[in-house]
Amino acid sequence: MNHVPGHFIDNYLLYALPSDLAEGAFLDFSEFLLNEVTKRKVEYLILDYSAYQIMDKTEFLRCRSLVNKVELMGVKVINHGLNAGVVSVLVDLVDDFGGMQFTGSLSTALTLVGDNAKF
Amino acid sequence: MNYKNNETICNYKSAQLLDLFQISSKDIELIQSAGKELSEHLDEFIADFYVWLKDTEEFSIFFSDQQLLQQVKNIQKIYWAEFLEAKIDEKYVLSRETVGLTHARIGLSLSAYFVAVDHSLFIWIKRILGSKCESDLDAVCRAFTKLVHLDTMIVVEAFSFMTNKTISKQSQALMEMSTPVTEIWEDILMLPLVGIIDSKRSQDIMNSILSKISQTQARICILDISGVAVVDTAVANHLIKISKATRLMGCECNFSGISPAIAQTIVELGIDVGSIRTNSNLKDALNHAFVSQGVRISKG
Repeated sequence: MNHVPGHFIDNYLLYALPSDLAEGAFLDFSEFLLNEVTKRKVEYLILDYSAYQIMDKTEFLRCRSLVNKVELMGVKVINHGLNAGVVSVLVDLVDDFGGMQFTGSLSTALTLVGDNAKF
Repeated sequence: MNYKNNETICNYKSAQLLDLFQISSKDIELIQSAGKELSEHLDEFIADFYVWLKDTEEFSIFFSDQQLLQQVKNIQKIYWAEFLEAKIDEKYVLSRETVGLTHARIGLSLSAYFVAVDHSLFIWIKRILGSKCESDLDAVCRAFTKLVHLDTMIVVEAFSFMTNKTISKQSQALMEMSTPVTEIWEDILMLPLVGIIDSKRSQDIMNSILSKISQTQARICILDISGVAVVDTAVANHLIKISKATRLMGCECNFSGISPAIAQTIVELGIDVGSIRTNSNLKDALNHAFVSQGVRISKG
């Protein structure tokens, strides 16, 4: 499967999560992303959820499991780009969002990456 | 229901309305033929109607101004002239809708309208029965009744449309007033909450905060709950949910105005507010927001 390349800059990798992936394709994408993170030796992964116009609990949980896997590898994950409609539904479906870092915009995410990011 | 320049409010076209009330071409002919004679006496009809109307409560409320009264009489004359002409097309439907919309706008109740229509029908039937009309008088009366009821239906549809529109406008205004999310500083939003928070209101609050966050990319949102009447488990859960939602949008939610009574209730109810940042007053919440955003305020 071909994957849209992410943006790799110094110590961070910026990736847009593709929505509507079937289970197999998502696992394939997860594997690809984990390999990318290892290969590029990044400290931060910024995941962009703006492609999601709708998200159910299953979809959120598999995204979270991907985030957990990346974080297990010592990479900090910053999630951004969830739209208001998705959030409004998601809070009804999911009880715990603990352990995940969210930002409202890419600029905030990049600010969080901090001084290590060179633009 | 649509209401644009040439579209009617009620869902029916004129032909469908005629079908619905079973008004045949024969009925139309009967009305038109009786109408030729009756239209010559329109002024008398109007006079008779206003003699009756003068004794009603609505007259003093709506028609005390002589100039206005004359205008209404003229409009009514046109209305009945169209009726007696019995040319039922979209223009006819639109003219009846205007009556309904006007009644809704000025606040003339449907009950007053129904009584007035009933009396108008009574006057017409009396006149038909006393006319030199050669047609079957029963059939003419029946045709008149059907058309009057068709008119009434259009007026009621338009009246309801206008009333519903007003109600939805008011609900929207009320919703906006009950969730006044304001950007008080760059990256800082504030929402003072007053009154009772139920599921519907909490959803409205969440929607307006989320859309404001998405619009302004704010980083901190202060919800002042000092005006919230009761904080019980349900309200606390609503607030926790709002806080979670704002966090997903990258905005930290800070609750201010936690009174001793509210704090006591929350603890006694065993509500876990661990993930929520709280302050006893707005001053502290603002201070925290400014500090976290690196804003320093100093006196001149």
